[in-house]
Amino acid sequence: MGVEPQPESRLLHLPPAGTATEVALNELELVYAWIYARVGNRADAEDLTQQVALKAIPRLKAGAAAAAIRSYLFATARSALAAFWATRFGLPEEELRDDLWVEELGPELSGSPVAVARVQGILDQLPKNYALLLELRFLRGYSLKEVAAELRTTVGGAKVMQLRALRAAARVAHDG
Amino acid sequence: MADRYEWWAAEQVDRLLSRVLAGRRPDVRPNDAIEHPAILTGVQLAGARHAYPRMSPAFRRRLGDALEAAARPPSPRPMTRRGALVAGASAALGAVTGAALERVVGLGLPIPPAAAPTSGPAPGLAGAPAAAGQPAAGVLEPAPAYQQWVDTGLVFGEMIEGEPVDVAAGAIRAFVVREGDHIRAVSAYCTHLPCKLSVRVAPAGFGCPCHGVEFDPLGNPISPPYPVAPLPAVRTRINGGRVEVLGTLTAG
Repeated sequence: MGVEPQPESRLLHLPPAGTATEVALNELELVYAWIYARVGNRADAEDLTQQVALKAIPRLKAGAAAAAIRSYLFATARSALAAFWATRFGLPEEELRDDLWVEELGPELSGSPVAVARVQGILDQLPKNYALLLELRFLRGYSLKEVAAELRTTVGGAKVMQLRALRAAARVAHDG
Repeated sequence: MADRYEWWAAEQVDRLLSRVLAGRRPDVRPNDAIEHPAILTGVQLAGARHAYPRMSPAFRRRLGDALEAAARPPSPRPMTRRGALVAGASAALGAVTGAALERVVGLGLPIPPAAAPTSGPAPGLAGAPAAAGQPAAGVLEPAPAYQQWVDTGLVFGEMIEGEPVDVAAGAIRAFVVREGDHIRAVSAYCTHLPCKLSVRVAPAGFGCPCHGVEFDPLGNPISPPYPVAPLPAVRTRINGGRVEVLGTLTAG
């Protein structure tokens, strides 16, 4: 049981950037991957990436260093993500920050290796049955019926265990 | 042994996360807020299952086009009579589209159905009498179960006449403006997509960073390139000299 992070050689292979638009899009691929890891679906990831792009790119100064550009993009993305979930849950952004995995180390990496390694770290700290459920359901794509069969419980029982496992994982993630 | 609440919460959380695992948006609403740590953890676990998510080619093309359009200086387009009729009719309908519709649903508001233009507020939104010179735009009002009056921290007597102030009241963000002895507020989110508007000084009003739509101080769109509804009003009052906005409940 475990999640293997991808080796460096299989990181995002982006097309060579010619125009300024292509340069911006390649940077935004990293933002997209980072956001996707935090919203879990393509539609929301696209909406948020577009928001970040149209807000941040026009404000970048010509000749800015690459590191500064990337930091600014990810700062905008963190802000957009916090506002996104705050709007949907009807909660202040401050209450959600600890739950959003908006770790400061993200900008220089595509989101996913960090996310995958982080998931492994969280699973390792959970009770065995919780870790197994979360891995089967969220990482291996088992249906809830299949998870229930694997754990020798009912579908309803698996749903309750899923909720408890997610709460436990959230506590582990929050406590770092 | 799970109690009744836990059985219910487990169903709700599984319903949301099943959508994410099927590649769809989760249908998150304010009454899901109490389990937000579990829900957020679930979507982030789901997001980690694709090792290197890439933009689809179609989205990358659209984003590239949008960036190039944003970089070009705006040029006035001659409005055809047909275009003026379409823009005017759609604005009168109070059309709510795309992600803006999701935000309306998420706040527990009834969805305004498509209807013939009327002289009153958009159907489905709480009606408010239109002030003189102000077209009716509807009122953004959370469902009774989730609403509460929120102190914005503003003291009415200290507000500068005509200067909008950005305030938050749970899920409601609004610009509050003092007009003489009265207070007025409009939603701070664009009615095209839920992008957060910014205050413009010259000309006065509000601007959207996503697609460049601008609104006048009353919340009416200024020459939008496509149909955009006016900004809905937000209920506001003065209570003991302090400005309050009708917002949504917050946890804790």
